[in-house]
Amino acid sequence: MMKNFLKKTLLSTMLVMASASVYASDTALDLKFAGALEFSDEGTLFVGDNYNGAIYAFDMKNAELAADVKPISVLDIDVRIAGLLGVGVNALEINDMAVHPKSHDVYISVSRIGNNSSMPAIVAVTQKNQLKLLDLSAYAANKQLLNHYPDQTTTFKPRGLMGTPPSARDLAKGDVKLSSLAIMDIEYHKGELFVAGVAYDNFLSTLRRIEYPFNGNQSVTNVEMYHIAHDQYETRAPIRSMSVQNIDGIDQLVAAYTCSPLVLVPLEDLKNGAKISAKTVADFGNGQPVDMIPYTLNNQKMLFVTNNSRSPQVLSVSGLNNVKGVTDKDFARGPKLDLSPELPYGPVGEMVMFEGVSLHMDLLSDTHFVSLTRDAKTGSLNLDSNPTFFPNRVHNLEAEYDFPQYYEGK
Amino acid sequence: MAKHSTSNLINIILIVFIGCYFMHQSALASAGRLVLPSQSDAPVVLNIIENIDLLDAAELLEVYVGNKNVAENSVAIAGKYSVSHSLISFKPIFEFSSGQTYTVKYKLSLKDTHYLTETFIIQTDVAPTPAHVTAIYPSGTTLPENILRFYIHFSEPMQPNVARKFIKLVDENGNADNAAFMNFKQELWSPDRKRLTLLMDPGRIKRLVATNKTLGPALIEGKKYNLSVAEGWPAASGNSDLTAVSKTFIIGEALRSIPTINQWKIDKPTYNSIEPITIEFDRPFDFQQLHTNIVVTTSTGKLINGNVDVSETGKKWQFYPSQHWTTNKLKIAVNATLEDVAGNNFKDLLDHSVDVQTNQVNSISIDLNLGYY
Repeated sequence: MMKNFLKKTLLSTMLVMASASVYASDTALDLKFAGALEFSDEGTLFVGDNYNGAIYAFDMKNAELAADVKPISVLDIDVRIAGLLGVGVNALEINDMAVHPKSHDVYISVSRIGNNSSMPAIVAVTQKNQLKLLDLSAYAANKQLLNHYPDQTTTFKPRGLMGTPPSARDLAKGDVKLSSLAIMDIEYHKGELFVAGVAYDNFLSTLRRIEYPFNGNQSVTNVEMYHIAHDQYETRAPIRSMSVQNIDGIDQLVAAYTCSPLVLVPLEDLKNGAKISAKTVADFGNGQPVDMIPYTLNNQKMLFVTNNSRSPQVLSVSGLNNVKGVTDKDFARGPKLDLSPELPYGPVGEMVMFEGVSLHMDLLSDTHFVSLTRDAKTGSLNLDSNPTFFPNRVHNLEAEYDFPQYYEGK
Repeated sequence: MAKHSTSNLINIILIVFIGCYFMHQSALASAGRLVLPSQSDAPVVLNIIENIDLLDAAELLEVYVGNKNVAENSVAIAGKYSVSHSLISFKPIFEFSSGQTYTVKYKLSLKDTHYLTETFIIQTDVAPTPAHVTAIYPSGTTLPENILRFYIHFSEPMQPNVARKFIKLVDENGNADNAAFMNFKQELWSPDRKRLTLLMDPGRIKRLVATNKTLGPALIEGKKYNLSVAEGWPAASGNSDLTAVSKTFIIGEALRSIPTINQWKIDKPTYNSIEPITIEFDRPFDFQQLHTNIVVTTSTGKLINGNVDVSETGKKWQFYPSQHWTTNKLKIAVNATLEDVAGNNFKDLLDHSVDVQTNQVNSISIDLNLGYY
């Protein structure tokens, strides 16, 4: 069954490609890196290119409306994407994932490494679990270059863990450019893009505000915030993930940082050239947030915040109303580790069970999240769908309910 | 599949594409029906036994990543087909990646029920070799009981701070001595992290002090030892793990005298030749120090350029001049801090009692008069 599905899709994909006269690699479309993904409500796909320092917009509004959104599941998704791109799985890096608002197909941005170069690609997994390599040149596209894009020479400074000399992996960080964090997350909101990342100067953490359709207008605002766990004011490490929500009666960015403060930034404060202090309202207690997914649960607006170092956290948007911002005056001095009584701090909601680790997650439908999940048992990477009310993936475990005896006498 | 004929076949097929559509197919059939690419940007070409439609191309020919046994759920590589009469050409969207194995799954007719497979690989320019130890110095099979240093040379920069995990000194009964080497906070790496210096714990070598009293010497004259580097030590690149290597040696008499040039045998080159100066030592000297601590000058002290070659045992030093010897009066200057493998230099023994006088000397000069042809 699966084989037939795949075969038919691949065939049709290839024929589409065969009929197109030009491809991404040999057109004026100069995308070098497919990073952060974001769809507008109508289906325009925004792609962050951290190598070019630009955001590309592809008109994909013409997608077919999915009548009935089904849970998507593809085992060994990384092996299959690598296969589609003609490389082994170790030559693939997965960068981001987003769900098309109409077709509910899942778009995955990747880097394909081969012949000593890295090529961008976006693969769609359709509602029928079929993989499709997008021919980006087939869509109307335009781009907006970032102002104050960081230079191409500054790299991260390698450091060892807690005073130990840097390991090979630490040293490799010394080859990574700061500009690779130019675009961390993109949020589309009412005809504007909000882009978190780093800019060129010493005040690196930046929120960009870009009008769409692109008209050259963009504002760049430097963001400072008080970091509870580090007990310091930080201006460099960028926002990892964010969402626009109405809090205290105004539109605000809810933004999550590494190790792991949660801050609020009123959109009205994002003015070109401004240096602002975000309002720190909570801290999950260390770790690195990956995705912040707004959804509705029991008629309440919620945020599902995934993290590469801990289980996902679910918090209610209304819980962020009337919350006092904190500063260094509110805590005892010194860094705070996970076991510190101050952490987690504030309206962080609750940590929920999620078997395995989600590399990327998005809302697939009213009822399901879709996730690129690293399986806890096998280490394989699978694309799976999990219900929003209880995305625990408990079916991967052997629990009481898996014993046949449990059902005897019931 | 005969890979040797690939380029010829591509030529033939290109000619067919250019316009010889009416050419008789049997000529090609005899030369082989599947042409595998030898370059990243070359297509896979299949000549089937009937004329076909573009729509059927993927049914007849698909390319997959990996070795044979194309699995049920593998995904075929995305690419572009072109068709001309009985010829199908497949070019991937992204060029084939060098070093990667690919499998072609094909059949020669739509009526065939079974697929054939063929595997190909685009050769890399440079074959990757796993990280390995290129040398362990001193390389002699008999080493003095009070040897101070070992040098381990690697083919590429290695991950630091794990040496203790991989390097073992084992005696002839198989007992590992985990306290033989000095345990510094920082390992002694060359700046390129391709050479590691292992320093024997001087406390074990120096008689009647520190660990020499509690643990005894690490190496005992007349016994056999093995210095091994276990496999799995990751290279700094993270792309390669070390292959295992070991060196067995017998322990000889300790070196307990101050070195002297009187014991050296010096072989002079001929004037106006490019023959080397060769010095044979009475004992092994430190391999690294021999490269820098002996220099050749003119009689007035002007440095003469050339290359130093040190035998792996550290018992022979040769100096090859960059140009012909144009002066017949040379000086060899030996830095008095040059150490033998036991750490003894021309000033001082590493291990001596407090009443022993040290030599007040910084450099030893040897005059060399070259003979004429």
